[in-house]
Amino acid sequence: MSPPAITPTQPTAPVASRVQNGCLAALSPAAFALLRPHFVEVTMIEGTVVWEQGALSGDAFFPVSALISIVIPFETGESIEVASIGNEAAVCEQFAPTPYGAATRGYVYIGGRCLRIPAVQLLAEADRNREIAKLLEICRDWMLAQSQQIAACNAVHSAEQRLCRWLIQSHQRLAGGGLHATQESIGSALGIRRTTVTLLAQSLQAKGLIQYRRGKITIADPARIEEMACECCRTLGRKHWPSTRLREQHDI
Amino acid sequence: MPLFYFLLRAGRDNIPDREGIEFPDQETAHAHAFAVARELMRNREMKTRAWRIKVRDEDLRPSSEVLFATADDSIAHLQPPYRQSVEALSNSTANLFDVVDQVQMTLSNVRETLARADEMMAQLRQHISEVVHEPHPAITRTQPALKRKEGRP
Repeated sequence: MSPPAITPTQPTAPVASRVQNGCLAALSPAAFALLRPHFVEVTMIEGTVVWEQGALSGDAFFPVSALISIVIPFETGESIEVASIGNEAAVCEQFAPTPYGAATRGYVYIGGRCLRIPAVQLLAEADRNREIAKLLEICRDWMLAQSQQIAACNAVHSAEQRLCRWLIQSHQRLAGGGLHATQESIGSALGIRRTTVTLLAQSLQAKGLIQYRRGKITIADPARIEEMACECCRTLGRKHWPSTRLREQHDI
Repeated sequence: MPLFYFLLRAGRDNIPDREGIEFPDQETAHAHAFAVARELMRNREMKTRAWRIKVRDEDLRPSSEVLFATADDSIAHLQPPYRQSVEALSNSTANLFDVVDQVQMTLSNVRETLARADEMMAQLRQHISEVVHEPHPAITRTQPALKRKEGRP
C-alpha cells in the first residue's frame, strides 16, 4: 500500500515550524495565537495535487520545507508554472477566487512539511484581525505579481535565462540546500522539453555552475547563475517576498 | 523503439544529452531535435543561429542534424533568397567553428608529437653519453696491467 500523500505529523501547530515559515514568523504572538489552534503540521509528498483546476480547495498551506507549484494545465496534458510558493508565503486556491472554481492547479513540487489550516478558519480570523488580513492580502498580491511577471518572462526571455531564474528562486526558498527535481519536472514547470532542460543543465554543469547527480541539483555558483538569469529573478527576489514585506511593516 | 541521442554544438562547445529518447523512426527524432532547437534559440536568435543539434542513433552513428537558423521563426518573414543567405552564413559560421576545432586538435597533436620527440631525443642523448663515458671493457682489463708495469722500478 502506498503512503498517503499528505500525512499529519503533529496534531497541533508546533512553534518551531512557525518560525520556519517567514509569514508566520512575522506575525505578532497575539495574531499567531488566533491561528494556532487550527493548524496541523503535515508532510506532503512530491506530486501531491493540493487543488485541481475547476475545483475548490478547503485548505490553506504555509510551507515550511515544501515547495508548491501553481500551474495552468492544458488539454494536451502539458502545463506551465505561473507561480510557486515556498516558506516565504502561504498558498490557498481561495486567495484568488473565481465563480468557476480554480483556474489553476496547485501541486507539491518539492516534498516537505507544511502547516495546514482550513481556508474558512483563516478567512474568518482575517475578518477579526487586521494583521492576519494584511498577511492574506500580501500573499494574494504575491501570487498575482508572480503570475504577471512569469507570463511576461515566458514570452520575452530565453529558456536558459528562465532556467537560471527558476534555479535561483528554488535555491533561495530551500535555504541553499540541494534541490531534488527531475529534468522532466523542471521542463514541465518551464513549458519546455526534457531534452532542452538536459542540454541547458549540461552546459551549466560544464561551466562548473551547478552539479546534477541522481536527481539532485546543487548550485555551485549562485552569484553567476543569478547573473545569467533574467531580470525577473530580481523582480521576484527576496525583498519582494511576503515574509520580507510583513517583517518590514512590523519594523515600521 | 530505437533510442536516439542529441548533441548540441554551441559555438565550439559540445554538449551531449547522454540519456537519449526513444522514437519510432529517424523523422520523429529529427522533428524533436527541430523543436528543441526552437526552444533553445527562442529570444536569443541572433546569438544561436550557427548552433546545431546533431542526432545520433543508439550506436552513436550520425542520423541527422538541425542548423538553428533553419528553425528560426524571427527570419520567417524574409523572402526565400534572404532567408537562405542567413542560413548559408550561419552554416559557414558553424563550419568555421568545426575547422577552428580541427586546427586546434591538429596543433595539439603536433605539440604532443614534438614533446614525445623531445623526450626520445633526450633519452637518446643520455644513452649516447653513457655509452661514450663508459670505459671500454678491453681498456678496463688492461689498465691494472699498465699500472703494474708503471709500478715496476
